[in-house]
Amino acid sequence: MIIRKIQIDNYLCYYDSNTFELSEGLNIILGENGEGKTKFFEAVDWLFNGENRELDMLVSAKKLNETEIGDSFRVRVSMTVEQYGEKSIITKSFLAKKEKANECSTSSFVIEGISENSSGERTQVDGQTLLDRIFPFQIRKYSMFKGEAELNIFESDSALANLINLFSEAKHYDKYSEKGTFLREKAEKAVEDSSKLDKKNESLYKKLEGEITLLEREKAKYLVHLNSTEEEIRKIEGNLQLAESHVSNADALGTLNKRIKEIEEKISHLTGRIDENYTTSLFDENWILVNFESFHKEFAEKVSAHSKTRREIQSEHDKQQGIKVGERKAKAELLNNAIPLPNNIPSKAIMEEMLNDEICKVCNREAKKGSEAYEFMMKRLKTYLESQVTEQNEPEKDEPLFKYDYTNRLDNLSISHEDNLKNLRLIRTKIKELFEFNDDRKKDIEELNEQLEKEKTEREKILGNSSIGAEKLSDVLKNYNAWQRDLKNRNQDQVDYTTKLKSLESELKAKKEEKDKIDTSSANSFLIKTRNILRDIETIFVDTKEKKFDEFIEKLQTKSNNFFKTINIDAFTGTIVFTRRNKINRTIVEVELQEDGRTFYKPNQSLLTSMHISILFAISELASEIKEENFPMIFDAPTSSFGEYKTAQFLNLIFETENQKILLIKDFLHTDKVTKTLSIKKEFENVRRNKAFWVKLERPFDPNNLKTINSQVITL
Amino acid sequence: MARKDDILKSFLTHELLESKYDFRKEELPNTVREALNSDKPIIKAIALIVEGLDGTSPVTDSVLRNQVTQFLNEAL
Amino acid sequence: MKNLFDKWKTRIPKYSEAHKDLFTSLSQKFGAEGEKKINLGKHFSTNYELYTYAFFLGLYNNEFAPIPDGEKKTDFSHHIQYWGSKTTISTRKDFTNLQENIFIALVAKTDIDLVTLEKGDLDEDDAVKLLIKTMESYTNGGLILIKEKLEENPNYFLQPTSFLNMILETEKE
Repeated sequence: MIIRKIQIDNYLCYYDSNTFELSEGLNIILGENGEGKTKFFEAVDWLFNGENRELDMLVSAKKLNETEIGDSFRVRVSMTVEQYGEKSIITKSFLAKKEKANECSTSSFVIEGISENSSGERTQVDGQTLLDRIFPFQIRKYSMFKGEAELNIFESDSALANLINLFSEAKHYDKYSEKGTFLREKAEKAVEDSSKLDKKNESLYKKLEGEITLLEREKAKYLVHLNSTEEEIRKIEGNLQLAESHVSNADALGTLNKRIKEIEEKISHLTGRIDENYTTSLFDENWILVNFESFHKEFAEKVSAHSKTRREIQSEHDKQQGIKVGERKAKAELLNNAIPLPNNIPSKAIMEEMLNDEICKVCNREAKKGSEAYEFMMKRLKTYLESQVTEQNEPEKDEPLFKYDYTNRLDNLSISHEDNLKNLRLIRTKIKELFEFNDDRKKDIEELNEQLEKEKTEREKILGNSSIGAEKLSDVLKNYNAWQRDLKNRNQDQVDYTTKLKSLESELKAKKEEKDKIDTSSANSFLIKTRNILRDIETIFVDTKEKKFDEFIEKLQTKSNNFFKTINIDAFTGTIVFTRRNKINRTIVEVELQEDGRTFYKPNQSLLTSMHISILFAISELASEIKEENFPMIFDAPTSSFGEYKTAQFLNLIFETENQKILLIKDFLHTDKVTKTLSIKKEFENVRRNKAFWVKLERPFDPNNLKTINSQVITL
Repeated sequence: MARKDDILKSFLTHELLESKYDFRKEELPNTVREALNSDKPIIKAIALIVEGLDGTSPVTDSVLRNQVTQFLNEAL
Repeated sequence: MKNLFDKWKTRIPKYSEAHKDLFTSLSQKFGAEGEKKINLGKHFSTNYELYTYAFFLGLYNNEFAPIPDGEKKTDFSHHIQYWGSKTTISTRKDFTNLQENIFIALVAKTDIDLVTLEKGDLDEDDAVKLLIKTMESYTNGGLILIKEKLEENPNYFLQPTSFLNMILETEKE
């Protein structure tokens, strides 16, 4: 769609009829401030969007002045467009009737449309419909920009949503993810209700539900913390970048910062290695047993004394009972009637070994097969083996003297702890070593801290040699170290929150699995199966929607960067990056500039403008692809921050782009100091364009007297 | 291809169908009408929803829910 | 074969109610580890840790102070056999082995006629009761020592090494 002609009659400073015959491609309208440039923009805007009120404010004062009381004249803005080979004319106009000097009454405006086909036949059509068909509202939104500030469309959260609705397939998928969630929630509820009916599970279920709710709440809380922390981090990094941009020796600063970071990391690492959990180690490392040895000895002596006593008594008892066959006690055939050792000492294995080797390994004497010593050992072993076999048919001849045997286990305890005594003896040394270790680490940390202070002072010096004014500099210096500290803290917070969120997530997962298990065992199995399918369907819907979302953003980003490369006047080597951020209950897109993967926080205005205009051209290109036609773009003073030279370069670059562009700028005009006459600078001849205009007020004029105001349009 | 078919196809490319349900790409239907005749419950369920939202006559939430649950009741 | 240890560890030893404050301020019933422990300002993660500590302190210092008959006793409902078990906490180690050391010390210091026990003339429960009485007495002694230290210097235990030092100071004779 191309605008061929714009005609403005009696609208504000445009007295009588004024026509702009526009061409394809780049149209430049020059104009000093206050001489009709912006009013042109406003007239077009009024044609598209104007409301039916305060129309009397739009009337040309000069025309009103010339009109007789009682007479009327028409205020009109009319646009001729061409689309698909057909011409259409849209006119918005109203009647102004002079009632008194300087006062008029107005009729409501009408929108008329005339459609002219290829053979020149004209038909009248409804103006509003025609307008909406030719230049739909959603596209107009992205085609008309008043001033540099308006170029940043992503400042509003809903911008993305609007764009998606306009240009992306993703808009169709919104309702699916909604419905998917709806169906799944109903199915979950059905399963829950069925589970609850099973009284057995009711309380456990309620408890789990409660826990899950609490966890979700915790999670939401931490998400908020995480989000605000991340925002703060971005803010601080922006400040730091700004401060650093003033520093003339940026490299040295960079190196210093790196060193400082390294030292801080070392300090943190060393701090982590210091272990001062002394009280806990009393238990975990068994340090509390440091003085235990004597008590063990007491115990061992007591037990062994008792064991001997017991055997003594038993032996006495046995002697008095007489000798019986198959007795379970070891027979006393020792020299000097000594008290025999318990049956199982030495153990069976050791006995067998000694017999095998034909040596008594306790006293290191030979015990050859057939010798007395050998026979003695063999008999001992036999007695022991026999004692292990329970003979069930032998009647209990006697009540055993000792009903219970506590000695065996006490003995074992004594032996097993005997081995550990050597560890106990090492405890004091271990403790001493730990104290030394900790002290050494603390000394190291102290040294590192000294080093750190030195480096930080260096850094202050460098910051001091920067290019900004002394006053601002002292502010920056004051804040710089504070910001660095803040940044460290916030980064740590971010890590903490992320970790906490992860653990909450896994807790939630576990609880939900528990709940699912209950469901599976008690709820109606059909409900379960249905719920599971609907869970999967929801996942599919949501994932697909997000995929489409991301595809769209990817496209937008690629196109934007293509334009950016072309328009980029400062030869800035960065890229425009769109990031999707999921906030609590909506998704937004943020745009930023990145250079070498690092975010560029405070670009100057002209860089920002280049970025925004690139995005807008990208959107326009997207619109062309989807609607399969081009639409014009109208900018009022988009490059005020550029300065004349940059503006000229910029214009030459966008000259290359496809669609129709109408730019209103105030550059390239020169006012003679003496005569006050306006003229166009020579430089403008080098600016490539398809058509150029100049709006200026008819001289002479009195800025305080509206009746003298009359903009004239000069085609260059 | 009608939009509803494109939408259906984009859902069916989700890897869940391949990994959890073991459907091979060749087995997946191309149009909503085909999918409505599928013997695999999840595919037919998705087709029902697409038809209900982007088909010739869109249905209300409760109707959609009833359709899906009734179908699953019979199919599972 | 009977095991006195097994019987003993099913018990829950008591402490004098007079020391209730020590337990509430120094340790945490049902346990507190890591951040929670620090947040609550506790020295010991659990009540039984404090109990164990007080026992050894009393033992090493030979502070045998039986709880007077008139004093009310209370406990923290945690059987000895579970003391030191740290299966769910990753930052702590298991120290169930200390149970055996306590038992060893108790047997050494308690007058039980083992012969009578093994002959069956002394009831196992009664033997265990004696062991527990010894345990409670040494613990009481240890708690008294701690209390006295606090009265002497309320800030003594703010040092991370304070509890360790109290144990180290008692050299074996």
